Amino acid sequence: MSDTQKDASDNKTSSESEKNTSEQNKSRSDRHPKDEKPSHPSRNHHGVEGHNESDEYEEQVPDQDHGTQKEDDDSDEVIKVARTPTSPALLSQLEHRRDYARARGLGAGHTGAATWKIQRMTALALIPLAIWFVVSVIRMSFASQSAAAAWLAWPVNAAVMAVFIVIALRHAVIGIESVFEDYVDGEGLRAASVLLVKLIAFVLAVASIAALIHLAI
Amino acid sequence: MARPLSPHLTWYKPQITSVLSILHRLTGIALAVGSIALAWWVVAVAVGGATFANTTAVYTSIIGQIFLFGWTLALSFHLSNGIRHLFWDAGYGFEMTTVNRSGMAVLLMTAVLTIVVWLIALIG
Ligand code: HEM
Repeated sequence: MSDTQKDASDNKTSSESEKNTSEQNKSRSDRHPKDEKPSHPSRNHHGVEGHNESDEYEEQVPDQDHGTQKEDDDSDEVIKVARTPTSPALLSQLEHRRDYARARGLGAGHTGAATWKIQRMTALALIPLAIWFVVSVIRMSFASQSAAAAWLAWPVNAAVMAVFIVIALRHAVIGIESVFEDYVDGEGLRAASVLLVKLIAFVLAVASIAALIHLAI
Repeated sequence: MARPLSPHLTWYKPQITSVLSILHRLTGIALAVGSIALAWWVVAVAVGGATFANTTAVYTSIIGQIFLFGWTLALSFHLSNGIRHLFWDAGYGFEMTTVNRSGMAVLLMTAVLTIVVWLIALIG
């Protein structure tokens, strides 16, 4: 490589690679000491790299083949997985399913989006229902038994009361469950508390609806 | 599986946002506990006799009426703030000024709703 070529900065690489091909016939021992002159260290280094890349590429093609061949022989297990007849698409689907099964029931709410939605829907329904309910209860708290029984026996009152009780209890159970998730430590204790709340809510719902049916007939 | 629980409430300086948030939870629990007593009223009417007489005696006593008023107050707050929650869930009202203003609106609506419910119940 001549000094003028070294000093030309822009088209240096192309001229060098041309030079490389012509120089490839030369023996390497002749060429390298000349390129690695200490006078222009950085440029020389760059130039050497260019040489090496083009040289090694041709030389390493057979080398790489040889390397893979070696891996084939050495590590059987890697190859076995790669050659499994199961399609990659099916494998990833199975992995997704396994991950989903693991994640399911974990998160903070254990049930997630569906419960969240029910909590909002019941809240919306409770806006008119709860106002109707509290007005009715205050009003009826002074009533005689026969007047209260007659009021509850009226189908519209009985129906709205039953709907209110079921929706309010549903809403309350979800709400209390989320409170327990925040403040009750320990999976077992929490599950037991939630179960107890659900049991109370169930008994309450059955008892009051049975009472409404009893009054209606 | 050990998961971190919510930070406890004493960690924070009270602000209208945090106080209303805690109140929403407390009133929710109070409403749930109170609804046991109110569902009991329906059962007492059906059972009749001494059961109904005792229930009515409790409900019409001063303590009973305070309980009913408290339940109304809790419901009014929980309902008003619940509507605020539903707006948030729909993606509205997150700006800090709006959050503070809607918080004040919730307190106002709680007072108005409680009074209106009792006026309707006693007069209407
Ligand atoms: C008898 C009536 C009601 C009971 C017993 C009740 C009970 C509860 C409870 C225990 C919670 C959980 C509180 C928490 O997680 O911090 C809750 C949450 C909630 N309640 Fe109610 N509630 C009632 C009525 C209503 C009404 C009328 C609304 C009207 C909008 C409402 C809206 C909400 C909302 C939006 C939440 C979720 C709050 C959050 O995400 O933190 N509730 N309720």
